[in-house]
Amino acid sequence: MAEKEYDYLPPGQRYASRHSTAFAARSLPQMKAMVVHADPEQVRTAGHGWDAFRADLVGGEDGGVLGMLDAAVARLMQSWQGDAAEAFLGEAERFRDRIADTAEYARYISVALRGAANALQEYKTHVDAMTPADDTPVSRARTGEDRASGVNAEDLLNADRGRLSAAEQRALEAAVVMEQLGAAYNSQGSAMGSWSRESLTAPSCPGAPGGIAPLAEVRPIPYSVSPRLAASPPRPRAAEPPIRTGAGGVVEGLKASTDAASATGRRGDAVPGVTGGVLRQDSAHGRDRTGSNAVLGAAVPIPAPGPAASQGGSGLHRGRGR
Amino acid sequence: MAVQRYQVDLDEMDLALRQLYNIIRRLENAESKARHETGLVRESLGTGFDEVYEFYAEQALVKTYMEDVAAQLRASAEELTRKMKWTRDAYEDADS
Repeated sequence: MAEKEYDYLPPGQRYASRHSTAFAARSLPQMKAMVVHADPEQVRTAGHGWDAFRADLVGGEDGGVLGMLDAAVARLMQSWQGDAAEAFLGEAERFRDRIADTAEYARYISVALRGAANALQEYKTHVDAMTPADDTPVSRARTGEDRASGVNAEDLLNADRGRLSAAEQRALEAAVVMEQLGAAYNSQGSAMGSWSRESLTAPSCPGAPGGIAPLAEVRPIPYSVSPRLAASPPRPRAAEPPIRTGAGGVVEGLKASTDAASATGRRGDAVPGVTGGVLRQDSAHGRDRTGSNAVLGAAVPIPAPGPAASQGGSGLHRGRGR
Repeated sequence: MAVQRYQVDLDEMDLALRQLYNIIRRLENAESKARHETGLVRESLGTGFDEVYEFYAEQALVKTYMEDVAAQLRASAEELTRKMKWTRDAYEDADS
């Protein structure tokens, strides 16, 4: 398993979407079978493919297609004037906007895939390490109805703690972890589904992705799950400035400006996720144009826990029992 | 008849054309990467739970869309280059 290279959501934040499978109704062997052949590295590789695609557009020493185009147009315009030159310049500028938007789209997909890979790595590692208990699940009949109805496994686990057989407790703990994986996948899927897809024949296609920005961070395994692994904590990473989420919380790890923005000379202090982080001027109509963007809507803060609420994870959990 | 005023250096236009051809090649590379280097095996996400299929379906839609966008970008670059070449040749004809 690859070394962890991802960050955790800050305490108090969880995925925007919930899981959709009733994991609490499944046995531990069934849940282990769900992820036994899953491979986070394969998912990550697909994301790297989008990174390479994006690098062709806006990366490398020459700035990719965007940098090459800018250089060519800037030089040509020094020696070319007239109506045809103006027409060419206008067309080239529209083309460069489309390249920047496409690069931003690729960045979004890459982050979504990386987020899914990170979640899979985090949760699969834990589920793989779980071993079935050899006692009899005595209370299954009592909780079976709740489980099938899709009640949150963490709630069941906390409500029945001390009254569950070892086998049941382990199955519910696995369900808690799998619910996190399901929520992570659903959140990334919802984000991808929110991105605008302009018609291929539209002059500005693809346009800014807008919608919900994807999330590379992973929610830590909740406290309610017993630590079974001596998992290494995530490597410390260079601090990046936090980004306001717009939902009252702050998520770290996503850059506020993109290479596309810097390569295009656009403003680097604008909202991330919109055309390389910029406000775009529609010169033809003399008004500003931005894509709608629920920035980092993939993560929302958890309400303050009441006495009966389950505990959210903080990541500190990973150090317990070592 | 209106007199068209312009200033042009054909050597600079030739240089710009060569750069545009390089851009087309780079876009062809990008298009190939979008098609062939971004594939996701569904089973790599896990199996037997709904979330896998939903995530996979969304990323497949986005991938297909981006493949088409990449092809469109390349076609646009070719169109821009064609227009530039036509304009350059028109200037040359006007000079001769």
